Amino acid sequence: MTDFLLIVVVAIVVFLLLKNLFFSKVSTVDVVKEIDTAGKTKEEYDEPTVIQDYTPKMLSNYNGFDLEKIFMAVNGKVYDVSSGRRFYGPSGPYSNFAGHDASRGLAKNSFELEVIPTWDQPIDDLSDLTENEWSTLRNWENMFKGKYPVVGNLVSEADYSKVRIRHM
Amino acid sequence: MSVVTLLVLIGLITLLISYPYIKDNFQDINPAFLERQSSVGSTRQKGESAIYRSVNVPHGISLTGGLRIRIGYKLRDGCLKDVWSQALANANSRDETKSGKRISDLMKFAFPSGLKLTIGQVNTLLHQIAERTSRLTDKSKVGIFTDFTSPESIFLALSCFFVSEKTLVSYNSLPKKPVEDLDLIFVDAAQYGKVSSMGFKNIVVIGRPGIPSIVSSDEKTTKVLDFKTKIADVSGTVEPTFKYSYDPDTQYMNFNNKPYTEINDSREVDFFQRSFVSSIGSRLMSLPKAFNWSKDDSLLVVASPMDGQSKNFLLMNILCGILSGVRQISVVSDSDVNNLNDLLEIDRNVTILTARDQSLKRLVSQTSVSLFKKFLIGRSEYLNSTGIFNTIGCSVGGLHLKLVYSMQSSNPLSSRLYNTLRSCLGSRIIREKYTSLTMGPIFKTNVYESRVLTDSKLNGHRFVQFGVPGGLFGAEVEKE
Repeated sequence: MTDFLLIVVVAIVVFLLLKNLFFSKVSTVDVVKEIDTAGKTKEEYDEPTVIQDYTPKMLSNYNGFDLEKIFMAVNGKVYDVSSGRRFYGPSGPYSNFAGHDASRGLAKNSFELEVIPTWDQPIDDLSDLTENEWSTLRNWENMFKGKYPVVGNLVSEADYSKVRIRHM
Repeated sequence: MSVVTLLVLIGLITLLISYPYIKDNFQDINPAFLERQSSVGSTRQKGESAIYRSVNVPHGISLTGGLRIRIGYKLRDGCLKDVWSQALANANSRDETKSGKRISDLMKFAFPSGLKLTIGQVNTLLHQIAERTSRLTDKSKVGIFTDFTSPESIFLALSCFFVSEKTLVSYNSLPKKPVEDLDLIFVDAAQYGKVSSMGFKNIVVIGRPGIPSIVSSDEKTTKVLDFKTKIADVSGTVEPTFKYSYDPDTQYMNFNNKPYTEINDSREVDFFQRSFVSSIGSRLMSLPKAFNWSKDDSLLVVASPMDGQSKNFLLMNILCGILSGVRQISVVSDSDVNNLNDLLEIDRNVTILTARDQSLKRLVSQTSVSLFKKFLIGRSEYLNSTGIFNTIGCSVGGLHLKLVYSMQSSNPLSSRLYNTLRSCLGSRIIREKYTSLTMGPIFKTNVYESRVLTDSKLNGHRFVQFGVPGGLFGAEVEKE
């Protein structure tokens, strides 16, 4: 009885092996995109950010609280620092910088609110910074350039309106 | 149940359980890697897509790199003269693996006519061509109207790149008006009639001894010369020399930065030194170590008719062959080979084959195979499609290809057809997509690419794969 059982099992295995080896068709990979319940593909979720100009008011929305993404400006450039959410996100140690122009704060190595202009203030021209403070700011800027993607420039409301009119 | 029965059953069950793991080990690469061959940028400009970057390029390496030639502790991108300098330096080493001979005696350029020239002989010819070309024109440009299948046209191009440093203006179509900054053109005998009335001061005809029989109305002002007697007799006896007046440590900044120009339908496309070295660098450096072009390899280039992409593909292959010091570089016209057996007649030791996709398809389909071989090809196709590379389906005994480069034409083959080609050739295939605006490929597939793509929603419609951005640059496409 056991020998009969063995013969059956071996026959099945040999059959499967031969079928696989001699009669299998070319294996294909389906390229249909996976769509989730919301009707979006993974690529649509990972849609890259369009590079554009930001006014201080627009920038203020990207604080990780009002909008999920976290942007901050350093020396005229706007960086997407969302990947550093634990530093710049709500309740992070540098959350004051999120959605703001952080240039003066970085130059003075200060995270206090006094060195961070609010959205309704004009853009800080940093003209009163000392040489040492400029050097510090440039070091920070290099760090940001290497670590975070630039998503645009920080411009005043007036400049932003001018550009929009030109494009219309 | 006896002990033997028990053991056999345990063995079979173990085999069944471990089958998926065993299968994975036979695969070239995990399919998950093939799905992520490029990384997409996190930002994009308005109206454009994000930049896609090949994962072959590690972060921290410039997108527009080059040959990475070392001077002390510094690396530089290099120029075309470095390619020849490197080839001559390689030529002075000895073949340690096989014969023990000097590489200079082994490395050869071969043509279907039976002509074989060692690298030393080619060096002599390049200098001779440069010197005699300079006698015919004092302008910095030289024109050429050829399909680059003759040794003369190839050596003229190499002479311009490496020695004379004149800009080579390659015509794929002739302009309607005479060209002002050019007074010398090299032309294939078959094309002579087209350029005879263009007003060039000197026309050098390749491939037919003596003055051509076609005489144009402007013949009085045009001097027609033949390549063999006036420039160089490439099929005659040539003494090898290794003299090359270029010092890669000190003269690396002295070069003509515009070595090659192409004219396509009156549109001029300039190629710079960077266009060449970055393409060569990305092509050779992005290969896994097992597939590196080496001194044991033999390169066979199947050249296609006149169009910008094919010429760029051919030049790129020859330059890569020269730099890597392959044992032999053979160039054959697409029309001179009918099937895979013909390739072996040209070079029995060919290991790297480069050809247009339609040529590969034709060569494979015209190679006759037995019924049993057809069965083996079918099984080989199945295994290849699962990622298990094998050579059981290789159509021709004695063909031991390591790599095949396929230039994707405007009518590219589907991934299903490439699977068949891979099985019949018994080699991994890198598909490359060229344009007339780039020297190297803009897209290429991974050397281990084995997937046969399909779309169940489109009734199994099969796909063409272009691959990922070719090596050291990112690709960007327009987006609405």
